[in-house]
Amino acid sequence: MQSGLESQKYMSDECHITVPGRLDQLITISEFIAQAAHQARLDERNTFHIQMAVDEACTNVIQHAYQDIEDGEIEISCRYTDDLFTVTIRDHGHPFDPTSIPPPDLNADLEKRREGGLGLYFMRRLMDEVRFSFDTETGNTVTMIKRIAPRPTNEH
Amino acid sequence: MNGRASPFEPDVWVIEASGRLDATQVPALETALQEAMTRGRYRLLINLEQARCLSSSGLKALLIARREARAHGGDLAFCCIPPRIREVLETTGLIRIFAIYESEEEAAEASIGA
Repeated sequence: MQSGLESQKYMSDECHITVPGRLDQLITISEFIAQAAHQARLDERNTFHIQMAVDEACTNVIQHAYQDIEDGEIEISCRYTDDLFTVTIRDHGHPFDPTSIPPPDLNADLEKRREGGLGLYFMRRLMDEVRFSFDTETGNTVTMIKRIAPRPTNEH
Repeated sequence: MNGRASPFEPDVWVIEASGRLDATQVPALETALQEAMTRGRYRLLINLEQARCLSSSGLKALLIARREARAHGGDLAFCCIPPRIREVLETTGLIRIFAIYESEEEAAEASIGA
């Protein structure tokens, strides 16, 4: 359960974690995001949005990219500046093409949607920017950005 | 996940969906929903008071159960949603596709699926 924590390293404005691509790691991933968001001084709302979006992205990796691959790993990096919090999630599973999954129609038959569609929708609604890329060397990369409103420095 | 008859309306079956309602918890959630419906309980109230998060995987399991409940003349509603889960449902626009009540008592007054 905690196997990912040893590979966790912090720098001033960047941190990484690598975990096995399994559903039982989602809680470790969520705690890692909470720590990174705390370091970036994000408020609870932004922190929860990013945790949820990352949970969705990693679930997609585990259930689709690593569907029939047992020892795949997920690499997650957080980078932040005063106004942007960027999460990069990388896997080496099957190529993922987001254009193959149309957005869900909230007015009809949401439960009949193919898997992944609702998760992608969550990611796009909870983050300000979501980008996907694939190449044979680095695998799938999803980059998600949350814009952060500046916080007053003298707040109590 | 605990299931029990509502103290306010015995025909309504309450499921206390606790913890992280993401892909990890979907099997437990599905089991609780199926157990209820196998016993003929199709008026379902999901009490989210002890839920820490609700992801698309959890929502999808609930939507599938709602379709089955409705096919048998019942329905599925939520109550006691923690503020941060409510806020995510509002941000994603999904709040409008569910019946949501403040408390079990309020849900009983609204007669879910009756």
